[in-house]
Amino acid sequence: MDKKILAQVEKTLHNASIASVRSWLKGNGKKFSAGTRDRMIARVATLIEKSEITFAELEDAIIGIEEAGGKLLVLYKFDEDCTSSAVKTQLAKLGLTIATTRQLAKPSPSKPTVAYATLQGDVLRVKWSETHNKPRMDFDQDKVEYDDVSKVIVLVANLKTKKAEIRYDRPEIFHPHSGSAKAKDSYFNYYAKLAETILGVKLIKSELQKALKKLIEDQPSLVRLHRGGHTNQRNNYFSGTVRKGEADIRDDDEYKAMYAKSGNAWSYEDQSFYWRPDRSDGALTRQVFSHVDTLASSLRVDADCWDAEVEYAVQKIRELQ
Amino acid sequence: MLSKKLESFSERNSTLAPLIEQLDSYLTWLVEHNVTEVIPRVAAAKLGISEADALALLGLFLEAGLVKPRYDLVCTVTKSVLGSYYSRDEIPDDAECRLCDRQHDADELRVELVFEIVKGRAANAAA
Repeated sequence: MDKKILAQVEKTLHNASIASVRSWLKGNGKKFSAGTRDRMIARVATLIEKSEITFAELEDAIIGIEEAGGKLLVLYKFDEDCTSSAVKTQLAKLGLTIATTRQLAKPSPSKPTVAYATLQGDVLRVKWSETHNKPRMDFDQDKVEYDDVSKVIVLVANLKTKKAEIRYDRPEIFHPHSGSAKAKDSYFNYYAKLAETILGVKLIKSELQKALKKLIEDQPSLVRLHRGGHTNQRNNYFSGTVRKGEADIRDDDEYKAMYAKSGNAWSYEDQSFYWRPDRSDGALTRQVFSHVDTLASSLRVDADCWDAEVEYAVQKIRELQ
Repeated sequence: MLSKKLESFSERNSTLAPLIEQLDSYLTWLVEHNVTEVIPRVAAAKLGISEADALALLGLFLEAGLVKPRYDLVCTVTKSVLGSYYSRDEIPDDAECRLCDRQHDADELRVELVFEIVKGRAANAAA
């Protein structure tokens, strides 16, 4: 094997989730069950050597994984008109120029830092990274140590459909947006405000209730419902979870009885499910986990997700809204 | 039966009239089932409308003096209500949850706007 290629692949995959890379390869028709990073690196290097994939494709996949894996997506809409020229002007005011390609985020920056801004057709995409501090106890030294953790945040906005999403990494206890511990809202609000400034609009959280209702109730279902949580008309909250295996909670007799009694008026709140590949018209090659919280207008995905899987989830929810 | 204020509003806004009547019937149903408050998103699910629309309709009922706004502090882990307040200023930054057996800070709490159904209406429904 070419050692140069191997070294370059090793460098490219340094911070990437192996599960995400495996999923990306599978999505591109390259089945491989490598369980270790070393075997995955060797496998990818071989594919590049045989010209079955290119470095450019691999780099783009790693960027996509960085922008999708483990993210909490907050879904928004906006009412105002927003033109690409107005966005370009606003980006220029912030000292940003439009790039032609996506880039990896800068790891562990000292302050929130833009990686790139692209405007392709009607779709604006801006990526930032910042550093959070995760405390841990060093019992031998009897003191608290702080680990730097890089966080990646991505704004995706469609100027034509007036829909936007901000993809966040989960915040750590200490972050640059608050002097006090936790206060995660100040982290989320910082980027929501920044997005409003760039777009020149007021972002309104999307109502996901209708989409979730269709997703859960329409048959044949696009998802396997793993956990369902709802408030009934007596304002009581109920939830049900499949404890093990790949069952669907909707097949449980007690769930069915409860649904038959009053399901048509349930207020769906938090639902965890897997998108079914057999109902995805070839868009998915595996079951993809999502957790939707209608109160926060958010969608959470697993760490091993990649771009196309997250885009599928968002697209389906938007279609059902 | 609709209050005079709502009746007059319905006459002036014929497109909203059916929704006002539906919400009024829904409130009556809640009172009959010993439910003393209405949650906008739950009302929205029942009426098949958006939460924003439910909130706007409840605003009309508020003006008519049929409901009263209240803030419930909710544990995001158990979804139970830890305290109810009539002014945002009264809402504490942290609260103890008996079900979790620990003190929650703002990151584990959410504030939910609910509308209490006024007592006169409750008494009428019970009569």
